[in-house]
Amino acid sequence: MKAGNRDALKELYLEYSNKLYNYGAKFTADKDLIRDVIQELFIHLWDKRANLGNPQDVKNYLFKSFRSAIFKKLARSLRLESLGDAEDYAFRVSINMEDHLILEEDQEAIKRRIQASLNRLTSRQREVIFLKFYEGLSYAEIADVLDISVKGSYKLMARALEVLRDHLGQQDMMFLMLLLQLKLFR
Amino acid sequence: MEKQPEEFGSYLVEDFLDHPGFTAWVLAPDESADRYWESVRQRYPEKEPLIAEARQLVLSLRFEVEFLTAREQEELWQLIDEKLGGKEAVRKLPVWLYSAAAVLVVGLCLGLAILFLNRRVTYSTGYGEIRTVILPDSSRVILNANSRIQYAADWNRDNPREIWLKGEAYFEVRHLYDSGAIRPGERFIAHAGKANIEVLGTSFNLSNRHGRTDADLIEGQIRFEVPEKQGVVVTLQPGDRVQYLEMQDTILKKKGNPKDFSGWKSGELHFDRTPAGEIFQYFEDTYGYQVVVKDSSILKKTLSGTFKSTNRKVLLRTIAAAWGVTMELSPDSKTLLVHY
Repeated sequence: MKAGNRDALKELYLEYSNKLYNYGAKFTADKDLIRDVIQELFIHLWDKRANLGNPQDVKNYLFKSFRSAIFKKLARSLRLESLGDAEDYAFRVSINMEDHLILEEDQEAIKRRIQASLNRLTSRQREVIFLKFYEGLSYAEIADVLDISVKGSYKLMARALEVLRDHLGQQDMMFLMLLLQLKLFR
Repeated sequence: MEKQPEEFGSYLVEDFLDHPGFTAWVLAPDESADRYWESVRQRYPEKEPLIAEARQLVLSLRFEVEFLTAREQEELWQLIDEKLGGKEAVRKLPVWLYSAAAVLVVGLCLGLAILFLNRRVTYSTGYGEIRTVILPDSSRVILNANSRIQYAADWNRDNPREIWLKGEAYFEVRHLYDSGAIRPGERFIAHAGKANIEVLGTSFNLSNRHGRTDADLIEGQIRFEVPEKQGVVVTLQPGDRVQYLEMQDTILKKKGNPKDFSGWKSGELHFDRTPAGEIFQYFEDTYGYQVVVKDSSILKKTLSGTFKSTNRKVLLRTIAAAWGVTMELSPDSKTLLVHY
């Protein structure tokens, strides 16, 4: 893309636009805002293409820039100074138990309990969980995206796991494992 | 915090979650990964409960996904492309300028043709949408819902005709070959998932969804190859179906009725003892519904016969009647509820 090939930008767009959209949807329900941010991000990316580093860092760069752009826009639309630091911002995730089929009442109940446990976390903890379990980022990468220390991102995860452990209970976890094992070997 | 991958002695649950191979092993286990983690368990038996917990977390923390529709994604790209100067505004010029402009344009085109050689064309369909695409060689492609096809903008005799497919499409490839040795431009290669489908001129149905690539030959000949599986090439006869399953890395060949596989393009779906789960998966892929089944015994049902698919509501009612169930679409048309 550095050479000025627009197709490379489109390839990047096709690969990341949905991931970014999905990430953005956790911060806000305003679809237009998310689309605007994606648009501006890729235009900006094209302008800055000569200065880009390693391909491995592209994902992190995109996520990090996207996140700060979302925050800026959200702060403006909510007429706040900034959303930045503490737990002012919202981060909503929904649990999807199986990819498509939800079968029994019990499974519904489990899904609700996991969702309730996740809701007990702070937004920041939820965000770390999402970035690790869904996007597969390492603590180092998460720290970069969130602009915190690696130790900080590790601690956020540790704290989140504590909360989940307390509220999920052994029985749910065992039942879960059984159901999911059955699915895996279908 | 950044522990060396092998220092399992000090690992907590958080560290297993950060280990590069761990999540991959949990979600897509293979023999070598199984052996590796089994050896870890044997060397550090006290870590077994932690491994189990980390595993359960990976499996249970699955999230709802929100993506742009194919159309929304394409439209957003158009906006980006325009802002970067992709399209030019149409202006009205005084008449006498047109001829001078024409000469200029022709000159420019010839010059820029070389620059445009690597441009890629993309067509995609949203849920419930069927679209016909004409390729540069006049071959016809009918794209099924929720699918995408890509190819280089310019085709010439010195390179094989190539397309890349995600989703499902029906191809009518023009026969360019005449006699003698086969020239590069007379070959047509379709890439779908990890498979390459090569033809000279023929009709076939191709589908690549959920890690499975299916090619059904209607007439002519197809050469089906998975480059990663060295030396395995399958040649099909009309009526044959070949499947490549990515997870199991297996190629299967079946005999079938070609009409069954490509009926969708004329608004007909054919089923032959097709399991309910597969049909619900088809609804999800084609219409974008999330299917919720209240009673697991419904999944044991199968369906045979021909169903018209042009009217979605009628299709759902007919299948529901055949099974003696009710299928309700939520008000926002996103969820399909199936129950007795």
